[in-house]
Amino acid sequence: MQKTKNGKKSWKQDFRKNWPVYLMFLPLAIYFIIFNYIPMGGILMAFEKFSPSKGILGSEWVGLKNFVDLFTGQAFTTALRNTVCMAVINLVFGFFPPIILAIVFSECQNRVFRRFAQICSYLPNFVSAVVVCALVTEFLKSTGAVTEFLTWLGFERQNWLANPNIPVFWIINALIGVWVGMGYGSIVYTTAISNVNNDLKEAAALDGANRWQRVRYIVIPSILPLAMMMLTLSVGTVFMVGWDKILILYMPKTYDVADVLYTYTYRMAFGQTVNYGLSTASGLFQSVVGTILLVVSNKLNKKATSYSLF
Amino acid sequence: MKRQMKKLMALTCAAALAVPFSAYASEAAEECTFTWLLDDGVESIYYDSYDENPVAKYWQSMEWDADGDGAGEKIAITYQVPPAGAQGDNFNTLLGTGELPEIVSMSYSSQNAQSLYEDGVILDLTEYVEKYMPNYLAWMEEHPEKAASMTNDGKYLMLYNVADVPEDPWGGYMYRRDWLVQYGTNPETGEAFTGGWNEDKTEWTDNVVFPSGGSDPVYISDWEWMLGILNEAIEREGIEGGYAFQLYYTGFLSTGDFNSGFGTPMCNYLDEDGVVKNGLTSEGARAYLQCMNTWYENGWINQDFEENVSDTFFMVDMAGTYSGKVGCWYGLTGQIGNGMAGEGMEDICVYGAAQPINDVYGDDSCKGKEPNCFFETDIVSTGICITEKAAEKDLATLCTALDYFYGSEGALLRTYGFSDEQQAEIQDAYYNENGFENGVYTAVEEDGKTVYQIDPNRDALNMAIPLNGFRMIGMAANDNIDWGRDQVMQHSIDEQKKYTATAAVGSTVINQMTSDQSAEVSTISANLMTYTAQAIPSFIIGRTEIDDDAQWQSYCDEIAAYGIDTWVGYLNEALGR
Amino acid sequence: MEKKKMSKQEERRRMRKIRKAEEADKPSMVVNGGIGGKIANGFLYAFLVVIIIICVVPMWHVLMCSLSEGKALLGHSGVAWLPVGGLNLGGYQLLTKNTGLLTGYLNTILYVAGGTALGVLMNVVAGYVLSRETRWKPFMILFFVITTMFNGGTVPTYMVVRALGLTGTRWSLIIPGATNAMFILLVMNAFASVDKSYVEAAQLDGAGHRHIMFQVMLPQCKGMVMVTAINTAIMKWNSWFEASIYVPTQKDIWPLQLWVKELTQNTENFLKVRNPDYNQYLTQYTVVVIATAPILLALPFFIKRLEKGMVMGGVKG
Repeated sequence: MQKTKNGKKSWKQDFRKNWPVYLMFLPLAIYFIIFNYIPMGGILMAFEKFSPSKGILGSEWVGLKNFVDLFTGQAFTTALRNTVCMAVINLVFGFFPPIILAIVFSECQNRVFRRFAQICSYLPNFVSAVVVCALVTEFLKSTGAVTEFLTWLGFERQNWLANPNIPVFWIINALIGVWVGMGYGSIVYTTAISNVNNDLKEAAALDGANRWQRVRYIVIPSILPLAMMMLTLSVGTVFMVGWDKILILYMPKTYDVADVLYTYTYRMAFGQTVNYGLSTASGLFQSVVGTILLVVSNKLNKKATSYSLF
Repeated sequence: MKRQMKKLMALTCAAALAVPFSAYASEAAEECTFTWLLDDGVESIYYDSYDENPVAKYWQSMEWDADGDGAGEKIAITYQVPPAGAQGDNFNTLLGTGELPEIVSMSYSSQNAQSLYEDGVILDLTEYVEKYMPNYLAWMEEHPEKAASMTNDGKYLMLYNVADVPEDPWGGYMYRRDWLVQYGTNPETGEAFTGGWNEDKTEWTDNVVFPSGGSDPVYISDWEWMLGILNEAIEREGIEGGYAFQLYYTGFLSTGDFNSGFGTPMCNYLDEDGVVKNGLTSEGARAYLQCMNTWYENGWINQDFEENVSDTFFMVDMAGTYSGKVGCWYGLTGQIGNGMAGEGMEDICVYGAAQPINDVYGDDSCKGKEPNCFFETDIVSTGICITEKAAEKDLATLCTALDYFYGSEGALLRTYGFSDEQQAEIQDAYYNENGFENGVYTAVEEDGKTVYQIDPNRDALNMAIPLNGFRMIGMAANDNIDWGRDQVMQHSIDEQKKYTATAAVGSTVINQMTSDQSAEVSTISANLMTYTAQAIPSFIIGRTEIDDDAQWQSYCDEIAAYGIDTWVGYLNEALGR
Repeated sequence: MEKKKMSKQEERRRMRKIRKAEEADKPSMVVNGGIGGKIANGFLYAFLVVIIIICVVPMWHVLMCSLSEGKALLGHSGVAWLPVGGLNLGGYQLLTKNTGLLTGYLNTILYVAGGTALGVLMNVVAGYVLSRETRWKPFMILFFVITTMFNGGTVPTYMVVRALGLTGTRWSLIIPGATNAMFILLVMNAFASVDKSYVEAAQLDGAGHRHIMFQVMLPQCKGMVMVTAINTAIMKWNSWFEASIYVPTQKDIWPLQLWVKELTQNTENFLKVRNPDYNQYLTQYTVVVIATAPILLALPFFIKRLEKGMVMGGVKG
């Protein structure tokens, strides 16, 4: 049989050898087709004047009208700019804290204390967005605890949430994300770090490597592939900047900096009547951009670290 | 051992999964059995399913003789109550999959009755209404101004909830009467006011006189006098973060309310000739903004009002209000009188006030007009539609049974529950368990008319909804009710319902728009809301000058550019249907 | 029988001893002595204490609010460090009227257990499949990744679940959403990092796929599988939206969080009457406490398992 130049077997040979693997893949494929791919038919709504009573197949086809409405809407450009900027900031802010936290956890020798800290770090994840936002509002108001601290640092006293200057709201939003997601995100890295061969660590210790060197030369390289995968995946979804908290926290005064595609679409689509076409079009637009980002970042990743997701 | 345990676990799980949910057993005939999607259930804290509702149970035990053959038929309903907060999503999934039950409450519908009818989802009920619903028709005859928009091109597509008279407000403008007494002086004589609570805090007496001569604020000039005193009170008491007048973050209420006393409300309204207009760019709106701007500059208004975005309009800055930092606000009935008393403010007295009439700002067209447009006073509200699925069922009996709730007896039953006499006869277990052995109201003769006295425990225990049948449709019986309110409460509510909302554009009109129109209107109103929420606070705070004609003109142009005329045009068109 | 038990106990005791010894041993091997190490440790603990405080605040606030006096809480602004207006259990008393919460608990436990079991199984199989060097591997990965990007929305998903006859049943809360591409890729990553020599050795011994997957590779990836298990469990525990769509009116199979959602809606309605019962204002806090406490109590157990899973096997660096 003919072999391809990089030594891979031909499709046929591959199948003959790996058919049990493909057989195992089949039920998974069916599951994902049923619960993920078939519902994707709903994307058609983006091209329709969708009315629930007529259904997806029965609604009137309007072509790209929903996209035109979306792109020509009054606040689209602002929302797009904010989405992009917040996405970048969220990506940067969201990437490092879980890793740092995981490293700190792994360096903490006291088991009981470490477990306690770990559980505490998950806590914000169980509190609803409403409560989180109420507390954020409380901390950032002109007499709030965080504001006092910032005033002490020399900033002007103000309600930080009402600050319409770039990039105040963006950073606040990213920090809220860190606050809520840090513990939850760190668990993956904690696991990966504790998988690092202990012999390796011990050997390094015997070689006289100090703690920092151990972290730098053993721990970080060992979780790098995982971190790269997480980063690539989050690049794909980061464009879908979470909206639930923004919807609660933004105000007319800060629309110009806080309005993202989600909130913009929300205001446009969920008025007196629900405009499914428009909201689906907006979602699709974000998905497409996300996919492009995912592919690009995967390519870049491959070049930089020779690690590739697919 | 372990394996056995596992098996046992698996079996238990399987059994648990296999348990079917019990269907509602009924003795009614098949064609009189319906499913009904309610908009809200009872707060689940009382009972799980609306099937347990005493009024619903009682109603389903009654017999209806629609065809006049002398043999009564019973109605049986299976109620479906979606979880709170997910009603809209549920409605859409049910609609999208053709699973809507036979009777659907329309409060959370994403499509109006007209467009559902166009799509063949709901039935035209005209023949049944005209034949079997005399009470409903009688109400429409009594209220011709409302009746016109309760039909779509002469067809009865929806059965609306109605009321005999507007419901007493559950909220409105409130002010600190105790501060007026403590810090105010008679505008004529300059003497200090006196007054206070009686021993058991059931009655408040004072000699407060407003500049217009009465004991309640009527005009903007009265309000300005009052806010001056409240502001002084806050200053003299040294209340940090206090303010005299609380404003919603958008700077105005899009239901009218306060701004409707400036000649024209800042929303869609009906003018004297019954034509829909919008007051956002009217002289009245400008006068209102001039007033608010002045008040803001006086320091009367919460300086950060535009930042309280997460508050609903009747609960702005609750912490401030409840800790006694606010002089005047839009609040809830529970706050009236001594309701907010707490540590350090034991003798607080909150009075309700009517919306003011402008007599200070703008030209003559903005002055001396009674407020005529505000929130939730309409006597018609969204009701139910009946879907195609019920086409083969006994709609005659159903409509006869539903019409019962539009008659005076049924309306009382629906709005309050059982009277003492009814409860004595029915002996409803739920009533007995919760201490309502004597029903929830008693009919007494007073001055030649029947007055219904409501058991005060109903509200104190917050049992109104579990005891009544209000989630079903019908008429609300709001007339001749004796709530047993104390003097302050009664006086406040009387003030708050002083004017009638004759200019409000009802929900019935919105139901007349075609689906294309409502989609367009939805976009227009969303854009307008975004714009006004920025522009109006701007005028009030003074970032833009309300007195500057050019800036006012550019605001008006912007509003026009969003298509306000299209919106108003559609409403007028719908009104004419 | 008796003897067996004895020996088991003994064994357990022995295991515990060994583990203790291990625990005592390990740190001493890796820790650096000296002042530098102490200072570093100091910073480390200080950092963790700050993290703990920051992360505990919201939950603490909710807990204290739930124990507060309703009316005083209404007038309170700021974080409730202690019960506002004095300790008050009225909010919890109010919940005792509701029987749904209890069935909600049991249902949620069932959904968490079922969903996590199904999810873990799928993750392991998928992780194994994707870790094999096959021609279709990139396409299979792409197949999963695409699902993170595109979704059709609520109505189409509902239609599929309904077409399968799952709506209105408990299965609708167990089967859909048991896993996602993220988890699968995580497990794939773990499987891929297992030393190939183990697999080859097993293959030479004539082991089948099932043996390699479960007996050879899985034990070395326990940690990451556990991570996905925990995350699935937390997700299932917190989820209410699916239930509100798939089983809206079947209150007897509602999960706990849907009850929470239901009971925390319209919290201001009670103020619309005179003489309101202010304890009703507390419901929004009490139900959150009630609904979160169990999983918080369960977490330490999970984390312990996680650490145990770690000790096994190495991963290529």
